[in-house]
Amino acid sequence: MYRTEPIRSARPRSAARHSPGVLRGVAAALAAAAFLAAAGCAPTGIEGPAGPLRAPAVSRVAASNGALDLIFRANSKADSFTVYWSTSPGVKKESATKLEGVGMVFHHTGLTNGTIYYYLVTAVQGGQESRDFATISGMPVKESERDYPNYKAVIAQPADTFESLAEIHLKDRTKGGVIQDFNNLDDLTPYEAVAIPKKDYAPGGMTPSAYQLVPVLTYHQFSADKGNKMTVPFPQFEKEMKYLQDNGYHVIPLADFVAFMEMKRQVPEKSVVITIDDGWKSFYDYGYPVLKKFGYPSTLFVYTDFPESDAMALSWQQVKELSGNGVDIQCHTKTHRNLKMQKGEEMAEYLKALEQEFGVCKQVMKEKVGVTPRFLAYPYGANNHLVMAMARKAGFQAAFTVQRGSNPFFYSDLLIRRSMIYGGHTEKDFENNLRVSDDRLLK
Amino acid sequence: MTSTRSTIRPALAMAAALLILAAGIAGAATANPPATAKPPQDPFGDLFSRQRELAKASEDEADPLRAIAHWQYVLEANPNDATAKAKLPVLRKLAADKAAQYFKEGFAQYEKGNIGPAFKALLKGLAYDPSNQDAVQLIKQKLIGQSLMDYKVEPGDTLASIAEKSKKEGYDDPKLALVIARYNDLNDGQALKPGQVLHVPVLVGVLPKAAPAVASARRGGRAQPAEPAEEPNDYDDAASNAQAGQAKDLLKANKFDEAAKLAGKVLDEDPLNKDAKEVRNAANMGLGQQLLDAKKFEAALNVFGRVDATYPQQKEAVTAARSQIQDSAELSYQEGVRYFLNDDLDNAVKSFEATLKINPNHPQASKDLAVARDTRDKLKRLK
Repeated sequence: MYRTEPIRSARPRSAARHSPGVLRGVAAALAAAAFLAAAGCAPTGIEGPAGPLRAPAVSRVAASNGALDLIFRANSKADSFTVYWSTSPGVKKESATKLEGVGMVFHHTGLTNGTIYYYLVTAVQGGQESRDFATISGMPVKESERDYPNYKAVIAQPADTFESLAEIHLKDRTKGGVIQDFNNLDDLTPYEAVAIPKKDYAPGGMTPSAYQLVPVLTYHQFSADKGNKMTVPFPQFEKEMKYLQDNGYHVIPLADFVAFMEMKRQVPEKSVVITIDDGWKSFYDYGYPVLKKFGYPSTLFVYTDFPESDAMALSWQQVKELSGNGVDIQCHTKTHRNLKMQKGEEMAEYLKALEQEFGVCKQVMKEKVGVTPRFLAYPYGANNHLVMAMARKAGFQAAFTVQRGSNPFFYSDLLIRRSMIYGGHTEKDFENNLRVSDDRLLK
Repeated sequence: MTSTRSTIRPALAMAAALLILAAGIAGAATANPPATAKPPQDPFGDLFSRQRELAKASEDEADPLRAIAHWQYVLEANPNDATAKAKLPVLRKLAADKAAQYFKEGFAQYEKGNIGPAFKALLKGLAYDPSNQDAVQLIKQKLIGQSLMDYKVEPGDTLASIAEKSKKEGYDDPKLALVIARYNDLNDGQALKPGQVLHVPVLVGVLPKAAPAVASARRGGRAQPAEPAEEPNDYDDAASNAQAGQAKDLLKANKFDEAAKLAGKVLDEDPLNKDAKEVRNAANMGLGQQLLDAKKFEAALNVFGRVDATYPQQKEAVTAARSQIQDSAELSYQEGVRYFLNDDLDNAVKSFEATLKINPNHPQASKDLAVARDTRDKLKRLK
């Protein structure tokens, strides 16, 4: 029987925390624009519009014995930051202690261990303070972490997430979900101690009674509001991404998933991969801003004859821009032909066609985007043994179909399943594509 | 939010939350009182307890890998923990014994050609020892399916003879030896060296008419290269192509509107269907021409606008429609001027209005319409 809970179902995470659709009842296009503005994304681009001086974002609070370090994210407009601090919550500028001219790191010393310190931070440019401000708190502790041979134990601070802990302590942000699984926690609570395994202890996600599945989702086109089978409207996509967030799924990079398939990497028990096919411009306009808002990695499979061939296609500049912003760009062949041998096609001509579909795609990707693709998505999901063999010869490490279903590690790396998400899919339809464990083949 | 996870959550977090709350309440009454959260004696003590609980829970679930991982934490956090010291060697031996037992069974079943039992046993073995790459490779390369076979060249072998020996891999025709040559980058007539290993791509199910080869390959107890299973695919090529064919028939019958709509429906499902794209473009070109002939110039321009800009004659059609709109507007405007000069101001107004309906941007019509209306109204008042 399929199970949608992780393989350790005896100790599941919390029940789904569904939140009502925030966009319900609002004209979809307006909602899309509002969302994009909130996400700090221009509707048709990656960089946000020039705006007022923003408050700094605190990327981390590092605690130590009698001290706290507030580490700010880069803010290109700010000359410096002003920090107001107090030992009372709800810190007010008027009553708090003020420190001006603070740089990217605020080293606050002489503090009492076990006391919570509250901060309000503004950005300053040309002597003017930002109207926006950030608030954060932290608690100095005599001992903030312990280092063991195979683990670390750390006290979480308010700015921490499982991902940030993974980034800080393992230099690998995508291990956040594994830390969460190891501690069997729903959420990270400030000042709670957390164990961080330094090494994978269950690559491939097997237990004696079940095996892990990883769903790979596939999208094609996006739109502001109206959709059809292959076009997912923006509000639907936003709800689906929020569903993943609210229900404890971890969106992982495709490369991590392939390492899981090779039994070489442990991924979070509720892992999902997001892929987008073809190279439609609507991904740049409506899909990517949502992924950016949620901080989800994604892979765009492009067929190289498509960019700039049509007003609805991405330009190569946009593909490069997406790549520069962390979107993984991979091959979807040269022409998007059905790769099965067609009636009347001679074997020599067929072999040459396959070589070109793979070879030219890789070469053009290298020239136009500066990446060397390692993964292939078969157009229409169509393949046969020779297509797979030729894909391997062309140097593809893994290849993806559109057979619906989630993947255990033991599936063929050249026949990886993906589930297409359609415009008009309900939440239930979406949820049905998120199976993360199974036990049928062990019975 | 209810969760079994939260039952293991340590009291520290709760204490911190209560302290924050208490500090907030106190802060309302007095100015800046210190909110002192007294951490427990050992701030990592609750984590230690939770890891012990998780270790025991993993044991209860008969999951030694995770039990070992949690007990290992416990031991490293407290090297004197007697339970962890005792449990770890036992669990490690249990996992190793179970893995060895299942791997032995799996490899033996594979040797006997019992694919299903071999697969299941190897999978179970990997639950106890996921590092066994021999088991992983056997499952993925031999049991799940192979697209490439290795062949060690024997004395006297030629590409044709290797193809002949590879019938069960789908080499029904000696000419298919060219696949082996091409895959291994061998030139025509290049001599093969005994002992050389060639990669032989499996051709079962590759050729459009390979059904008999599939049948023969599927006989026999060992895993043979069968055609990848034709499972339902979300891209319904057949249905899309059938509908595109129907749209083509409608186009041939000059039913442009219906053809364009049907082709559009196909493209909604399969945006890259070339036939449907072609039909939609051709049908919209035909429909636009029909509208031009019916002097419905604006509608024609709208329909031509739906045709891909790269489609032959699209730009010319758009230019022609715009030109006809201008010509038609000009005719109407000239008619209005004639009425105006003949003091037929009611008809002049109508003609100028008609002009603007055809071309709202006509350079003169709106100004002349205003003059005509004004003159007509003044004359009516004089009467």
